[in-house]
Amino acid sequence: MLWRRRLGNFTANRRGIVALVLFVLVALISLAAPLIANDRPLLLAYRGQIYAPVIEDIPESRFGADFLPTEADYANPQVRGAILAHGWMIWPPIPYSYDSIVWNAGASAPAPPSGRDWLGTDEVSRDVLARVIYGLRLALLFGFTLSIAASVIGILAGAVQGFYGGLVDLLFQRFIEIWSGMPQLFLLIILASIIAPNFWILLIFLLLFSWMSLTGVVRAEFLRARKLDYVRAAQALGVRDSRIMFRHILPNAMIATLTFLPFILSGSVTLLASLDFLGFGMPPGAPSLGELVGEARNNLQAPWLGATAFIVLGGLLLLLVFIGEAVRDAFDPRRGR
Amino acid sequence: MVRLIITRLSTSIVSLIILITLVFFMVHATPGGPAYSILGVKATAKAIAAMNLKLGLAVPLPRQYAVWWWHLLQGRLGYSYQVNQPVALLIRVYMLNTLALYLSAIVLGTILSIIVGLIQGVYYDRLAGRIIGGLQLIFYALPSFFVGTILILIFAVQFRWFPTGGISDLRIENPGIFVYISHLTLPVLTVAIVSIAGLSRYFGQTVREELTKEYVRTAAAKGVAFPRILFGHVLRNALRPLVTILGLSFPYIFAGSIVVESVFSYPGLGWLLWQSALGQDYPVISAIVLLIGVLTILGNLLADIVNGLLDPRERFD
Repeated sequence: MLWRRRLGNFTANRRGIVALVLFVLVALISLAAPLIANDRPLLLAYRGQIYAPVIEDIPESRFGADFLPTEADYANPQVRGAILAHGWMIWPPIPYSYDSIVWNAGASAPAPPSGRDWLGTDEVSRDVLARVIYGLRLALLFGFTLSIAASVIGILAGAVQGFYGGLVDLLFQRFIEIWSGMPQLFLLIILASIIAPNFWILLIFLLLFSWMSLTGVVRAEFLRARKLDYVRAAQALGVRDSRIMFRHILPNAMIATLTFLPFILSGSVTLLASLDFLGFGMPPGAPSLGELVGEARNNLQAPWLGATAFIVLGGLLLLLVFIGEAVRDAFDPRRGR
Repeated sequence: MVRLIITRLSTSIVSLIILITLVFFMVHATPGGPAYSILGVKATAKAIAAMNLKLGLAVPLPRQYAVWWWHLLQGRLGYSYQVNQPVALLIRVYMLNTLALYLSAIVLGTILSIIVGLIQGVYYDRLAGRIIGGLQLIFYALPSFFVGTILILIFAVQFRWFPTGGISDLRIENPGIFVYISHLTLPVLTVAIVSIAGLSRYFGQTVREELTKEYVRTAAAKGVAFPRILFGHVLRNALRPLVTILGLSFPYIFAGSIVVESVFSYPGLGWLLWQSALGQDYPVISAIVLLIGVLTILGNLLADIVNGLLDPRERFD
């Protein structure tokens, strides 16, 4: 009954529904990135044998005695000719991966959009559309992982704080006050300049500070709930503390946390993009939306880079904010029949 | 009240000590150490040893930590590796630029937020209010380096009304104030837009809430003209929480400076930090981080105390 009302509130917000549908679409497309934009064909038939180069490495020598037994470069016209002479290839819609150089772009890098590179090429002549799709995938994967990890830690911390109260709560509060008072971005930059990050190291770095976003809400909920009769009854019955916390109180606390999740996600995406823009995030070569904005900034003569970055990154963040607002309104107890 | 001040003060002091210690360990934990940063990868072992001695790095770590504190308390911040200038001097120069940028942006942003918020509060359910709400949402979602880049692409590249970055034109002999103003415009606009998105949203909601209160209805029933109700009463009441918000967000200004300044290559403190981080210039990095950290912590302390003074409910935890 409660769910119906909340779901009703959510669906009533048309902006939120449209945003959610678009977001899911974008997420699915980006997750399928290796099938949509890749520098290897999806399926390949040669002399009657069928291969799937997308998932396996095939040595070039398979296609002719002249070739070396190195990994096949399917962009090479000789390799292509050798394959097509005795078989066929099915290519993904975009024949570039995020790191494949476009050798014959027709103009100096960055090249404007053309028939082959629909969004043009970037500074080092990589296809922008391919980088955008992989970049979305990276941003979403990183964002979700960071959000989930930060939420789990934050909820645990808030639960412990709120449930036990007293000295535990006080010490924890002081710690959070101090830790959240640190200049986070600056410390992250120093850390990133000491240890060059990859996906996982960056995740750990950002996790150091992002976990604090949910603790306040969860703590408040647990502080409130521990005074209620059903909790005291459970304690009197001898139920273990952890069971009370996670089986009984937590589901009520989840309501408030759910409303924060889209904002945590958009915050994570923004943070990653900011670090990438400054050059301290993902290693060079990784497909990153923030890095695309950086390239747009450094190549003002190539406005298609800026336009692409604007639409993609801006669009993604906008969708997340719309969804977040809709979720928050849905759970608002003051609305609905 | 006094108890609040004491607890907040003690937390702040502990925060400061932790921050200073953190920065010390991060800076001295660099692989290879500062000697490598200065002399380069091809330096001989003898040169590295000599440099380490000169930099005071040959002594055991706890002693370095004590020396670090001793220097800090004297105000000796060291010399930059990249430009070989005293760090204190660098900071003083670049700090002025950052202050010029941010003070202008705050003033502009606050004034515009109040205007926009007023309009939004009054016309909340009408078209104007919704358009403003939509724009606020859009700019709230976009990060600041984004807004900055777009502004450059539109106003500096397309229309050529403003320069694309920097603080002044090196080709001009004696740049007057107008050169500086034209260079300042886009960065100030960027910071102002981002802050308006957040501030005016809050202010608009506050105004709207105020307008639903009883005293407004009473005044209208008494026959007071609407503008007078708005500016004489509602505005004053709505401004009070705004001041608190402003005060609370003041410390975070510097955090945003690094991004905006890097977009415009604006020679301020954030830009200096960025360049130093790229070049592994640790004396400058640690000095700036410490400065920002101290300002942030002090700013938080001040905001908490002011908040406690204004709102008695905030005096207890």
